[in-house]
Formats: sequence, C-alpha cells, structure tokens
Amino acid sequence: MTARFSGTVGVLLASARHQILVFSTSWRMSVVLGVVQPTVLLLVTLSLSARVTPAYTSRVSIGVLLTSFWSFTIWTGAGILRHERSEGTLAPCLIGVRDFRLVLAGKSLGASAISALIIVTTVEVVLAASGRSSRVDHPGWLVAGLAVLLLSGLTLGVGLSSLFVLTRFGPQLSAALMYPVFLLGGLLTPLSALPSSVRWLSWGLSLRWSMVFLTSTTSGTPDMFALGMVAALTTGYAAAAAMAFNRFSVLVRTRGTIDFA
Amino acid sequence: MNAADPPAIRVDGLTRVFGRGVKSVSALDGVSLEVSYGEVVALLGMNGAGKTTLIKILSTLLLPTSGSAVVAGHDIVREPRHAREATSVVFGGDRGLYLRLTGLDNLRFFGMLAGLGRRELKGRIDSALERVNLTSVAGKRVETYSRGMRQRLHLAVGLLASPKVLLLDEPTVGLDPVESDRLRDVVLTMRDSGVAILLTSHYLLDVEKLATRVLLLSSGRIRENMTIAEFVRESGDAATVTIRGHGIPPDIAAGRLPGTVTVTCRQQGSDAWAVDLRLREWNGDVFKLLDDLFVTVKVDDVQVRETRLEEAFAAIFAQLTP
Repeated sequence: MTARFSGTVGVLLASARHQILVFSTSWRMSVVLGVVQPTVLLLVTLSLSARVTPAYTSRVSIGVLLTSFWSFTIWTGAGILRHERSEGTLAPCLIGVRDFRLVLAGKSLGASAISALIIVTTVEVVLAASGRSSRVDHPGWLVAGLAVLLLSGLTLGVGLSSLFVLTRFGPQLSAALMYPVFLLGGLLTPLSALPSSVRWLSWGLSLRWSMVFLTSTTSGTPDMFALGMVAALTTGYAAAAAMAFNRFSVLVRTRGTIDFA
Repeated sequence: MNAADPPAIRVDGLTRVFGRGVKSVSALDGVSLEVSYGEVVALLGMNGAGKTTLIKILSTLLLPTSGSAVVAGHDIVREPRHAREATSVVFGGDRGLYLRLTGLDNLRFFGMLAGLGRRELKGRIDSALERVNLTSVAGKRVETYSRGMRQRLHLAVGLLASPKVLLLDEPTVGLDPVESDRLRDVVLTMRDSGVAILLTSHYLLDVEKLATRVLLLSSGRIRENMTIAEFVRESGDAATVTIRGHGIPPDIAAGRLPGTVTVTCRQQGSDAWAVDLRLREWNGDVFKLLDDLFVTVKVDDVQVRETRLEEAFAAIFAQLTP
C-alpha cells in the first residue's frame, strides 16, 4: 500500500514538475496572466476607492487573486490536452503504462500551483510596492482555503481539458467561459449587483464560495459553510472531470482521432 | 526461444472500420499475423494500406472493430496495461517530443510514463542516451536538435523500458545515411537480444537491412507473407546485367535466349550500344549465354545490379492493384 501510494504521489509530482517545466518555456502567457493582469486590476481597483482600509485591501486582493487564477485555469490548465495534442505528445501519453488520469491530474496540479504562486507573489509585491497594508486574521485558514482552491483548479483543469480537446473550438470556449464566471463568482462585482434571476447560478461555482471563505479569513470569523461548499463543489467537479476524461478516453480510442506524432 | 513458444505478437482476424453506414471505410479487413521473439517483421504497403492503423491498435491507442490481438501474451483490449508494459512504440518524424524541454527532461517524463521508478530511471536514461549517442547533448533543448537527433531521441524513449515488443513506425524518416545506419545497428542489437520488432517503413533499405520477413498490406488485407529472398524473387527478376560496347551489336535473336532471360538492346549514338539482360535466376545457362553473345563484340563496360527492393515492391504492388 505504501509503495503504491508513493508510486501514485511520485507520478503526480513528476507530472506536476514536468508541466511546470513546460509552463516555464511559455513565459509570455505567465507574464500576461500572472503579472500584468493582477497588477493592473489591483492598482485600478484600489485607486477607485476613497477610503482604503486594510480589510478592504485584503478583500480586493482576494478578488484579484481569484480572477487571475480563473484566467490561468481557463487558458492553461484547461488547454493541457489540447496542447499535448498539437505537440504530438498526446499519443505517447495515452499509451504509457501509468494511468493517464493520474498524469493529467499531476499536470493540472502543476499548472494550478505555479499559477497560484505567480499570482500570490505578484499581489504581495504590488501591495508592498504601493505601500498598502492588508489584514489577515486567520492565516492558517487562509492557507487551507488556498489549498482547497488549488484542488478546485486541478479538477477544473482536468475536466475542461478533457472537454476542450474533443472540439476544434477550445480557445473560443475558453474565452466565452471567462467573464460569466468572473461575474457569477462575484469576483469583479458584488453578487448583489446581479439580477436575482441569475444570482442562483453562482451557487454552483466554487470560486464564489472561495471568495466568501477567503475574505472571511481576513476579518471576522472564517465562514465554514463556504469552505464546505468549496469542498463539496470540488468533489462534484472531480466526479464530472473523471466522467469527462473517461468519455474523452473512450472516444479517442473508438474514433481514432489521435495521431502518433 | 523455440518454435513451441507463443509468438510475441498474434493478430487474428483483425478488422477496423472508421465511420458508419455508407461513409464507412474499412482500414483493416481480417488481418492475421504472427511475430516471434527475436524476429523483425516489416509491414509494407502503400499510403492508406492500413499500416499505421495496425500499429495504433497494437499499441492500444485504437480499439479494433472486431478480431483479436495479443501482445506478449496479453490481449490489447482486455489487458491493455499489461500489453503496454511489454511494448515500446517508436514514432517517426519531428513531433511527439516536448521540443522546448531538454532531451533529458523528455526522457525523464517518458520514462516515468513507461512505469519506471526514480531509482532505475537514471541508469536507464544514461544507458539509452549512450546507445543512441546523445549523451553530450542531453541537456540541450530538443528544438535545437537536428532531425536525426530527434529521431534518435525517439528511439532512446523506446529503449528506456527494455521492451519485449518494439513497434517501429517509419524509424529512419529524414535521417542521413550515417544516422540511419546507427539507428539500424541499435535495432539489430535489440533483435539479437530477443525483442520482437514490427517495422513499418517506406525506406526499403530499412527492410532489407533489418527484416527477416515481409508482410504486404494492401487495402487493409495481408496479401503476402514472405522472406526477404522470396519478396525479391516475387518481383520476377534476380538481377539486371547491363553490357555496353561499340561497333557491331551482339546477335540477340530470341531463339538463342534461355527462358529465364529477357533482353533489350539500345542503340546509344551512332556506334555505341547497351544491352540489358534481366535474369530470373543465376545459373550456368546465363554464363554460357554471356560468353556466346559477347565473345565476338567489343565490350566497354559490364554492370551487374541485383534487383532492389524498390523494384520488387513496385512489381508486387502493381500485381496487387486492381
């Protein structure tokens, strides 16, 4: 059992490391999504308010972090399989001895982890450079919330990647999915600004609950219901991702849509 | 291995149909074949004959429509993981590698995919790099590699897992003669160590130098299963003897020729001539004929050329094409 566990963890980590290496070779995307976007969003949002308190700064920073994280997930994690296919490396991956679900999960984990690291670093640097101070009452819960967010990004990456590789319109779908989630997750604007007829849709978004939970860790009491919702939705995403991957896996083998190289 | 051992690859009545209804296309139609351990079998066919489809099925990338395929004792549909553990696939061409990563990073990743653990991976990578002569450039990005180096890296990936069965899809495509030879040497070493190898190639030199047996695939069916010598013989000629001379040409009246020889005579300029003797087989009659025909004429040059596999290939497929 221990050997199998270490094998599973080893494959996850090796795949994550590999994806980070792949990621590091396309640094332009990282700079745009992980540095430029959060910097501009943060500076603009903070400059709009006349009275910027540490709590407000924290709330805005979390909103910016989640916004950029979703952008990263949709443009990188969700495109992993599509990218492998265009490079001609998908076929060797699919006929490997290792369970490719595990490999894909590791790759998605690598993409989520590196994107989270870049965005958090950018946000911290911008806040420090602009002389803003933020407030975090429960740093431990904040880290826990970020870890669950990472898992959520991982499952979304696997699921969306499996869906997008089956269509020629992956990039268009990525673009189409971005802003609705920004709005429904309450990341760019308060949820109260949305019409009540569409507000209920936000219940199905882990980012919305991540926003609520992470914000609650900065001041007041951590919202455990929100954390539970993130965990529950992430579990649901994982089940959907497994189904999407199985569908993809069966389709490529029955249709023969993947070439060797 | 002896004759009683089960074959490394056994394919029985394999069929693969793409699409449905009137638009369906049959890529493989009842293909059956066997490859033993320590044997290199070349799968030849025109584009679209079904070669790559067969390799895809054997590598578990594609499901067959019907029939069965067993690799190293494991059914590729029911036990794909076990079949993959025994098999390495070497792809041809520039793609299939992470071009922006180093050769070493590629080998680490593909070695992990092949089921190797961290400890054994390092030794295997060093050995594979050495065998394909890429050790000195292993730390460089693959995008800086020449086509031949990329192809050798593909082979190194295939060598990592010490496979029982090796599927080679166009392994020397784009390689210069020196690199092609080096790659063939590695493949021959694997064959000698008992690995079963199924090779597809448009380069018949690969077939000539590597294969022990040839399977001809046409319109999704195995049309011929023969040794290299039989394959060449099927083309109808063993060799062509070209004799050039000047002055009075030799008398090549049909009555003087044995049945195994056909002759064409060409006038080359006002005084020179060339005679092509196509020999079905080498025998005493041929030497006697050469002596009779050319003893009285002035010969400038004699060239003997064995029938090349390209000619055999073209001749056989001309017969197979409706």
